[in-house]
Amino acid sequence: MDHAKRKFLQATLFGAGSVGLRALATGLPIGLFSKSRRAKADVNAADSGLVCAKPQYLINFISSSGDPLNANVPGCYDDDGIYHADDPSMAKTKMTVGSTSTYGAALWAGLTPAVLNRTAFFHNTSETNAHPDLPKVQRVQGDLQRSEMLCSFIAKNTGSCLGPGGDAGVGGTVQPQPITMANEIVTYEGAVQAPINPQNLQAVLTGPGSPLLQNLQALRDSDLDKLNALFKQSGTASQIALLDQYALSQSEARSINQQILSDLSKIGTTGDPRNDYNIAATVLLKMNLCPVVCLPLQWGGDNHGDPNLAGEVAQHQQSIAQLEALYRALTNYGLQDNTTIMYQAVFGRTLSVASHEGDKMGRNHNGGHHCTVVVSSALNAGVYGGVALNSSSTDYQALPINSSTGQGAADGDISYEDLLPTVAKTIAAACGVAEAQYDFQLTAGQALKVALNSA
Amino acid sequence: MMSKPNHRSWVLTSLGAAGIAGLVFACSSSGDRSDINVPPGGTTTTLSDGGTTTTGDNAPPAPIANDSGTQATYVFQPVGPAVYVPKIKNLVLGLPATDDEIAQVTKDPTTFRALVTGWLEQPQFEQKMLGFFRNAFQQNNVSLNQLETNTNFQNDNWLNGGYQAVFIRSLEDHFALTAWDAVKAGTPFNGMMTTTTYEMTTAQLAFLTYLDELQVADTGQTTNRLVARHAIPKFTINPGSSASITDVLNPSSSSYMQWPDPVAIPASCTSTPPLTYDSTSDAGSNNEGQNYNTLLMLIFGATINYPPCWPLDMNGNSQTPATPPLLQANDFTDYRPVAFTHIAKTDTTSPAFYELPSLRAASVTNPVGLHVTREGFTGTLAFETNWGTNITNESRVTTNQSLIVSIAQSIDGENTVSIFPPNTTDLDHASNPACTGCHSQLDPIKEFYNHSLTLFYSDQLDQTSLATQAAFGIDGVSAQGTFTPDLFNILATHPRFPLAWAGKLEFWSTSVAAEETDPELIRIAQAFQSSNYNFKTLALETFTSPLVTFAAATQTTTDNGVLNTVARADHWCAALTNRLGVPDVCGQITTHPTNTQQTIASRATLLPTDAYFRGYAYATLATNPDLIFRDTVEIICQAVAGEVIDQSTDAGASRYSSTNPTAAITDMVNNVMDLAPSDPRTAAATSTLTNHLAAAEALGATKPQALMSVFTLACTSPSSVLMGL
Repeated sequence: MDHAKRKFLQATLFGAGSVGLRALATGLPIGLFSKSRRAKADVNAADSGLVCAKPQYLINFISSSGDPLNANVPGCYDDDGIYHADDPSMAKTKMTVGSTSTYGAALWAGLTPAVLNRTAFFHNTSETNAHPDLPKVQRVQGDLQRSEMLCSFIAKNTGSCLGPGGDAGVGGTVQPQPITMANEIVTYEGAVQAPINPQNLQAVLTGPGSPLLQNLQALRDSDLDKLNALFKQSGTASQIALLDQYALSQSEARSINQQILSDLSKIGTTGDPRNDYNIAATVLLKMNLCPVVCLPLQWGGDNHGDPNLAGEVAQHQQSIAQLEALYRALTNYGLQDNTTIMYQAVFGRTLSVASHEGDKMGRNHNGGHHCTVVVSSALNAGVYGGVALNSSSTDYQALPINSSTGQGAADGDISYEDLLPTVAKTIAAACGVAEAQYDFQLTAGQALKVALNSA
Repeated sequence: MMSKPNHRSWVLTSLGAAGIAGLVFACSSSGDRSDINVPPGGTTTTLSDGGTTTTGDNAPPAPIANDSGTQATYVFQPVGPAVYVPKIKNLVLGLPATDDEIAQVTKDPTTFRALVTGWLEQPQFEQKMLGFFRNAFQQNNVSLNQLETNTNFQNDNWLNGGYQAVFIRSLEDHFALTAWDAVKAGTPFNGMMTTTTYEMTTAQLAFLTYLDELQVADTGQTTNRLVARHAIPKFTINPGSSASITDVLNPSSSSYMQWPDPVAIPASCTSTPPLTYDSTSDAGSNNEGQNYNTLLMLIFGATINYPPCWPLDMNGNSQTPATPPLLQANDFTDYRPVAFTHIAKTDTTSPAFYELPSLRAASVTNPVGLHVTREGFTGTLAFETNWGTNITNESRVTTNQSLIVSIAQSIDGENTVSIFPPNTTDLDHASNPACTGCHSQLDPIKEFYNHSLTLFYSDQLDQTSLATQAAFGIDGVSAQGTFTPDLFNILATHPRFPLAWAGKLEFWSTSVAAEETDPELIRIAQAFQSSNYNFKTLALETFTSPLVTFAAATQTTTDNGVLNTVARADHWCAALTNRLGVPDVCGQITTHPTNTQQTIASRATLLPTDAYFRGYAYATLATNPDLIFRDTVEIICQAVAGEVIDQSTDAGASRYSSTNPTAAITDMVNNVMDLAPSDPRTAAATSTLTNHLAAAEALGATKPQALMSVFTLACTSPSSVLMGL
């Protein structure tokens, strides 16, 4: 673990010279501001490393609320010092995840085999307990080069491989950037991606209300091309770059498969916003519109005050149901084998009663433990890593991992500090990013080979 | 006691050093950077307009290494008055530039400042700045539910549904209007940190004075001061009464405390109320508190139960029809400056929430006395609604957002700020090395808030919190104090204040943050400070600055290149509104929008919009057009077309008539496409639109339909939706 480098990257993002912020604000790679020679090397490596091997779409649930996703997963029921809601759905239940025999909340144990047999629980730490740090977590706390976010790094390396012809290198999604429906900051090459919601997606992609104006669209497109060309004649280089992007956006908009848009009409008809997110995400992937969709994660929210953990229970029940529905929707589209679902909060929450005012009426922030939950055909179902009391015995934190077994162990060769980049590399590998790419771009950790399904 | 750095040379000691360090690092590398804008795996695409592009950002041209090969800069291409005069007028007023204005500046560029100075006096500038202030002071995104949650207000049915939109609008607007007062008067703008005078409505005052009667401790326990002093021993609510409010409040009147209710009692109801609320018999019980709550509901037109006439339904809900508030409609919009004074805990909130004539008479010279400290931009209900805190957060979010608004400084443990001795850090997890950075900097500052306010933005009575000393230490400014006014005084005079606001207005203009070490940004900030923080000076210097016009290179453009961007929803909607004469086209501020406004407002959320985030000193905005942007502007333009073509209204004739397409197209080119008659591109654009009209008709469109398609084309044209062409 190169702490000096990590510290530097963290500092440059929001600190000295605010180069990271400048990159965010300008949409330019951070290398422009700080690492010219290195940036050149990055490109060379990237150019030689793009391999289209079993690429996966990614549905990435994210949240800066720090939901208690970590509190009731398998691996958090072995120690009786970890508290759970009294609700039956959270009762300690024996379950088998892959080859792992363990205990988890009844909710998790009740997953249908199709889902459970593809679910991997990665106990790790996000290395923060501050809400605004979700972008840092997404950037693997500085371990992902060029200040890219993990979801965008995966998108960049899989987008051109997905869709018809992708495996031959002649395909690719309509746009390379992730589409986010989470009200969180998601950047692609430093450029912020505007969040959208399912209703607006439905309204925009299904077209205008006026059929006649729609019929004249091709004519307008042609004439808009003429206007673009007109402005390019006298444009500066930066103006021309913007005009080119605008023209490209029109080409992308017209390439959408119109037939599938009718599926979007289901949005808003079920009375459950989570269903709307599922529909929007699966349609976007079926349309091959983008390689990554980011959705809001809701497993209990920022539940400092949550009497009897009732909110945590309710949202767990809803999210489990949403996961099942999402998997069914992917299956209906035939996407279940090439779509990875990932849940990542900004941090986990306290597991010990002592860390929450001595009661079970909520949970506080826990920078020492988080559980990344991933459902993917490219992973071996299982529980990877574990938890143990921290050195001051005030709460639980993630254990190092033994890379050969995937089990948590105090003397594991994957250190506490390398857990987050290890999870990132493993997910990147599962999504089809070439080993040379993730090993080069992610500067710490190792892909957990025991978790990867080589079949 | 506050100490300041020895010299405030705008290098801002630590900030400047940090920035320079970053630049030195950037410049110390060698080698050609010409390939780094091309994303890995990017593909070259042939465009329908005959050009080619590469997927990824609309990055500026690649930087070129200098002769020594040790430092790379971008080739800067300045734009002339034909580009920047329309751009700036659009930013300032949302209006197109005229031929005369462009010719004047082309002939003598020094006249541009006088031109902009004149624009700053136009009414459209006020509207643009109100939007800027709402966002910059973080007063947007108000919901009653969140307000009730963050203040622990235990009544979610106190306001008539028909008045909720206008009340929320007033909460979001009133501090922006307060700031505009300072702009108009030319008073120091840093007074927005410390002002205790706000633009208020009577309705806001009624709610604020009621809220002030509820002292909510950090634990959430509420003490109702009205109950404690038995404010009204007995009152009735009488649907049959026609007593005036004056009489109701006059102890000598026979109608004293006989509150009228405009609800219409059906003839079938023979056991007509009045309802009597006797605090004597209810004294000290929850019922007495509920009595006052009922009176608040009457004042705000919430439904009151009349079980004899309208029995509760099976769910316990009232069946009584909604009735108007006792507040008049004008009470929700009667903005005027009102001063607040901070009263002792033993004093009584004055006027009381039900003394409507007194509330209507409140002013600068007739102040309102409150227990809760109401000062500066954080003293508003809107700010409190945005940033709820809790027992673990302990006002850190409030504190950090205050720093972001006032001095564009977010403390996240990584910033280069001076470390205050951690003698007041919390004990919970501050000892964790990963947390020390934040806590050593932020915790001493948050004590200002914990000293003045509880975690529910009520007045603080807890002796432990009142005994805790607060301290501040950022960028060489160190100070200690107790109450929030001490903090606000520090922020108002902090050397980062002018730089922060120069940066905010520059970012509002370009969507791209200037480097804080850019001498041009520092020059603007110095001018702002030298003018005694006159906001119009800041506006003039910013809008005429090459940072915004791109008429000349700056350190920012040299280092980062020029990044032209898409028009943000705020700018684009203002332009459509002001150019087409259709009020609030995008339904952004209308409290009762039409169906079309609702549709457009919904779609406009897909466009980059002014925003602020928790923990971020600078907003981050999408700058590229993508397919969602492209589809969105087309749909909005089609909706607007239906509003401006052959649509005569009571307000006047239709903006465009399909019987006179030539005039319509001329106006669309000039107004919508922002091309002045003398612009060399005007003729070709006019020709394209004219040909489109004919082609559309040839395809079977009627004349109105064809003109609507022409409008859509003009409205989605590059110069309409992209900035600075």
